[in-house]
Amino acid sequence: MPESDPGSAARLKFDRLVAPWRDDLFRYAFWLSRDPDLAQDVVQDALVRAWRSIDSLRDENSVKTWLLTIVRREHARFYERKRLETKDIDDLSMAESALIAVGHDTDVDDMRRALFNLEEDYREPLVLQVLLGFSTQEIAELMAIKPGAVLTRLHRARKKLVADVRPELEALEE
Amino acid sequence: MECTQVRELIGADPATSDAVAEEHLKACPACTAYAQRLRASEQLIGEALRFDVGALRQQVALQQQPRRRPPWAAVSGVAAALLAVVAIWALLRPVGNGGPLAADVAEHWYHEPYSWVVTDVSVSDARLAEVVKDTAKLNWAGLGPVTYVQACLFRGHLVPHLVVQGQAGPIMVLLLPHEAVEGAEPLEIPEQGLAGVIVPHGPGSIAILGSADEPLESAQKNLVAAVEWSI
Repeated sequence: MPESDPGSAARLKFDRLVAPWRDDLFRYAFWLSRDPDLAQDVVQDALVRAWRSIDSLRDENSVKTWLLTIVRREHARFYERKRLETKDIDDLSMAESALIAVGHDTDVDDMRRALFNLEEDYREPLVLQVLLGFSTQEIAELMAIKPGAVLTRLHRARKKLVADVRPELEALEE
Repeated sequence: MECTQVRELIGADPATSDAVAEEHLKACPACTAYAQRLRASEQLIGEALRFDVGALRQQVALQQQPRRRPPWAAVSGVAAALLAVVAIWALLRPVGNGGPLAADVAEHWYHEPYSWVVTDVSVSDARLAEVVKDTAKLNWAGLGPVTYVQACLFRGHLVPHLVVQGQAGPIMVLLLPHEAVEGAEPLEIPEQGLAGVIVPHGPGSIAILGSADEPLESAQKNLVAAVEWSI
């Protein structure tokens, strides 16, 4: 690419920033929506929006949070635009079976089922913490809730997962 | 610190190194066992969340294939009327530079900007074969490395969208067996410095879009020679 071409230079910069995160963006959108097609659309639209507003990214070190924030907003917009208030049971079960089909480990499959069926309020902070490495404070800022609420949701999320996948551990707590 | 508090702390973050909690764990075998098992579950949660994105997309595409209705099922009532409208539109629509097909190809480029990466990491032959198998047979020798491949919904059909690495950067290739063009149609996204062409190929066409600096003639020639429609 010639350096004199500002369009090419901007594209290369965008590619360089986004490429390391694209799979995680899809995973985040998937775990938000539990719909691979919707996740794909959300990420596509989010990246177009990111491309158009690349100038608003002041610190390249915060690109992950910046992109995830855009994906989160875009996901919410999809629900507003298309009034996707409820999920079709057939679509959900197809998405769940597709997710299970990509695994080769029974324990992981069981955990994916449990995560798939976890309430969104509990699933999202867990995804942000475990998959994306966010701190409690960062999760609180992204989700616009208090850090204490994040900790409560994380604890409850794990309790529910354990109850679902490893009931023997829950028995230990009693 | 009480057992309940320690378990809440570990439940919120199993990797916590809170000194008070650690002290409690040293003195409480039940909480230690709880923490160990929870930390073991943590690895499982991580593996479960970190699924293979390409494999999931492939699995979804496979699931959706049998859901496609056979052509004859659509030819009834309103569907037949819609088909007639589409057929008339297809006959009357303008062709040539800036026509609907060229506009849709350009729009599709904007849909998957993350595919537009300069990289030397190629997709696997198996992945490439999986995506194109229902559309075409490829004789890929002599063409650049394929760094992205995805079955995309384009004008009502699932079509292979490939990105190959050219001399001046990535080149987007759409294999369009359902899109006939009368002659080569130029493609252009001037604001991005991109240019290309939609070349007729048998009953369909191939759209090629790359940097305006890219010598596309040889890529165009090689692609036409490499693609044999299988539908």
